[in-house]
Amino acid sequence: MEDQENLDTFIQRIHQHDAPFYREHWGGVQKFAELPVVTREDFLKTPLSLRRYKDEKALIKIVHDPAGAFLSEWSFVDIGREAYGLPARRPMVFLENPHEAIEKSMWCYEHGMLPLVGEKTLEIATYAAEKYKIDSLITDTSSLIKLEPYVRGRGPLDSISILGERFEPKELLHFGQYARQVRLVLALPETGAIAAAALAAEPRWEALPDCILENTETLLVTKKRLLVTPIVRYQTTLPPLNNYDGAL
Amino acid sequence: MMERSDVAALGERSLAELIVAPPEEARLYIIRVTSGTTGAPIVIATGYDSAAPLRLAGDERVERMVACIGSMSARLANVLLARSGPHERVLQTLALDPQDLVGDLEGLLADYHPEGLHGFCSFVVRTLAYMSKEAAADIRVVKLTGELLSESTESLIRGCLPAARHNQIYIAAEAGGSLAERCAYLPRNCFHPTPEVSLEIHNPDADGIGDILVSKPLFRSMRIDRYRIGDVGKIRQGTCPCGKEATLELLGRKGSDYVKVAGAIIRREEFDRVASLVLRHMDDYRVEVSETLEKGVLKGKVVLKLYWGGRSVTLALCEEIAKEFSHAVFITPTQTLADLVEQGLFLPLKVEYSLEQFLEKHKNIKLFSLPQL
Repeated sequence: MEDQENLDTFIQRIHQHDAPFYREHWGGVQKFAELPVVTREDFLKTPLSLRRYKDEKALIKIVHDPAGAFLSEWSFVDIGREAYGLPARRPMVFLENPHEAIEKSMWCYEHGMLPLVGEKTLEIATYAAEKYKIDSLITDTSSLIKLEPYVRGRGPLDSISILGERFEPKELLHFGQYARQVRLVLALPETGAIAAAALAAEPRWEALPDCILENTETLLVTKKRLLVTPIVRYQTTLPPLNNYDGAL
Repeated sequence: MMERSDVAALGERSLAELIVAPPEEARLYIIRVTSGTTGAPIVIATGYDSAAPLRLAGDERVERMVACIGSMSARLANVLLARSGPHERVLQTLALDPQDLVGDLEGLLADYHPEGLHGFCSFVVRTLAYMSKEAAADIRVVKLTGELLSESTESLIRGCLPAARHNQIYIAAEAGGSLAERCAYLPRNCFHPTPEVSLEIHNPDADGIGDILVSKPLFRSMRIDRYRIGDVGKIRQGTCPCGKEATLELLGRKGSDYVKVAGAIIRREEFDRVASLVLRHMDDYRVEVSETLEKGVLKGKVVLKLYWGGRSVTLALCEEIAKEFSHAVFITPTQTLADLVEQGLFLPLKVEYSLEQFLEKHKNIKLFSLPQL
């Protein structure tokens, strides 16, 4: 009940905000469950200036999509509230997408960790990883596969967080031997982290705190925090999560 | 005096200390990684001086920056400084990647409405091609770094960004980033050292020109002391109208393991390789590298100067050598100079014969970058 009240207050706050994006998109609808979904297409066609709900020190990312590109702004404080990685002493961030790599490196700083961000050239990235004696990795599937010779040739890491939109867990299972903990983090550039699961053949996904997931034909995501561009009933193209019952 | 290998060893020590004693305030430090252009990369832990975040935002109180920086660790350092500035000042940063330089960027920059541009000269110039006149007119400050700034590049940027105050920063990743900054009174490629940095000239010639030596704190109690950074310059005498005493005039890359130009890296090792294969009609060679503007487009220019016992040769032979050399010398891992000429990024290679032997002002230097065109 309290959650529902908080959600109603959150929706009301967005309704009353100067930024017109959601107000115009929702019309007069006030109830969360009845709010029209918002899609990436809506972000693509709406300038950031019309969907900016707060003004803080922030990182601006470019999100490339086959249909075009749009800006996704994340305040550093909000970046820190995402659940991208696990506590570590010497984390390395090695991601295919450079905007995401910078953002996840800033996540490390927000958590008091000094990160090594991987350079694009694999040889330089692994050379630096050896020198820094990294103890954890924040990466994505394709980058992890490139790093496999390095992780195979060293002692186990404390943790590997594999970020992505889709996973083939069975193809990743063997990475379990390279770290004490390997987790999958479902994330989109514009929504941040959505759900996480320990690496397994059939991962048991859990929605991350502050995330409301609705299993419809595709996964609907709501973040219960006022982000620069809030995420409310955001229709992803991700399939529903099997283990998640969709309850609010 | 410290050489590159000494700084690499210092880097190892800084990392070792970091492992033993992790920082209490991580955000005061950054792990920098050099590109490895001149050998193994250097990985180093470094701090930054307390005024660095303020310098990034500048007196103009720029609130929205675009960073045009290739290296990931340098890009992260830039974003970290933006994060670390005074709380009352909002600073948003878009850290561009070269792969963002596609058609959509113009609309995105118009949406973002940046007030400042910061980054490598060639990357900034490439970004300007995606900036509408309206968006460019609102840029109030441009900070250039990483490469020697040529007159043509500066004039191209001034033409595109009419309202921008120009700034230039002298940096070296392995020395912890910013070393010196140009003030409003200085011409291009002239700088005052940033706080805690000391610059001197080693073994200057009659014109006062010699190797630049850098001293500065690096990490905790570790210091870089009289590090021969690989650039050539001179110290200008007299007090600047801004009140600062020390002024460094940067004259180019020395030693010439490599020269950066028009966003590419010309490597002496590769020129040596091709010279040994292709150049039959010479005793010695030099390469002069510069940037030039051709119909408003910034291009790299390479002149190959040959000495062959004082002999002159026909124009046809020069053209033949230029063709053969261009097709053999790789500027990127996969593209030859001829490829880059075809793409309009470089002018065709020019070959000239010298009747006089090359002077050996600095031992074994074959590659020169030219600041003035």
